[in-house]
Amino acid sequence: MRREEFIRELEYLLQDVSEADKEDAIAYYRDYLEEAGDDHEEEAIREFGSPERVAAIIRADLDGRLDGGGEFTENGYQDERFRDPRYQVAERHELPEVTENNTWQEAGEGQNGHGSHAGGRFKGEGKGDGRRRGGLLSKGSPVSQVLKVILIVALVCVASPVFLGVGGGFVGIATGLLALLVAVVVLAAVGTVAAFIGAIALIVLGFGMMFAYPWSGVLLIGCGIFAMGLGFLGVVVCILVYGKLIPFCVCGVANWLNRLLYRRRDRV
Amino acid sequence: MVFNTGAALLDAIVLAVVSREQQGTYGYRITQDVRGVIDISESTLYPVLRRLLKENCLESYDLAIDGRNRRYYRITESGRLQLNLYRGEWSSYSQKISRILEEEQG
Repeated sequence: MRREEFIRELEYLLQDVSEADKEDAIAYYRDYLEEAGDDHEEEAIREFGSPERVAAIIRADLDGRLDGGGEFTENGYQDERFRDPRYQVAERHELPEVTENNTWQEAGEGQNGHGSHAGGRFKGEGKGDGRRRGGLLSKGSPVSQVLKVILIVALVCVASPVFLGVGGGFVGIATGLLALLVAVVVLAAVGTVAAFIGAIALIVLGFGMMFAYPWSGVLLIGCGIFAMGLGFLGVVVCILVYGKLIPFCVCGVANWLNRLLYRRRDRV
Repeated sequence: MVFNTGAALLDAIVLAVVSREQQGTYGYRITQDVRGVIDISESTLYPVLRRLLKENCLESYDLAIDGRNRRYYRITESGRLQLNLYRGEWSSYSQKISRILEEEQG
């Protein structure tokens, strides 16, 4: 594992730690590996164990679990930190198993070589504990997948009133706009037809009245011609509505849906 | 190593290592210097340095070297006092242990 990879992993694992503490720790380990140089970088990373381990140490420290030092137990005075000659800090608390190359095990075996019974016992405890927690910590584990799904469902449940409110608003606005569009389309057609029918009726009536009341007849014919003008205006409006507005709307909606689907696919 | 080193002794060793450098020293070097004396893992010292900083036994400052910042640690006055306390304790403790162990041997 390279330096950048290690630091990236560590940053990922410390997401929930406060910004200042995280920066501080990351800076220290980045510094450390830079000082180690190309020659010792690999070795230092190997000895760190894994990013999970280092993150666990940092977190244990922040939680104050390393502050108190040792404690008295039935076996006498014990300090979790220094039980093992190599100061594997806080391993009993929550250290995930070292996955990369089992430095852990080597350390344990080295200890047994010294004839220290504490080392052997410790190794077993640490490993069991580590494996359990490691499962929870690692990114791709089934547990975290299930957890993610549960969290999403919970989020949807909790947020549904908001979604309903906001979504309802949007649906309302969309429906209103659609109704307006339909009204314009229908009105244009109906209005034009009505104007022509009215114009013809008025002109016919006007010619009929010409003989009895000439002036009224002229007035009616004038009104009829005016209505005819309105009809022609209606035709122009209809051409605009059916020729331009509707294709424009259809294209717009189609484009929008297209974009939506495209982005979905893109994200997946 | 057969004998375990307690928290206080580790503090004392770190303070002694840092106090050797007037200008202060940095994390990697402290670790290597301590490793010259006792067997510790590379990841051990971060919590220790942090604690010593918090207890005002050490202070840190950033120094630009080769175009980047390196964090230096320097011992403070109260750190020096603490170190002297440790030195006194250690000398009486180690003398007593040496006496009893060497007696048995001889």
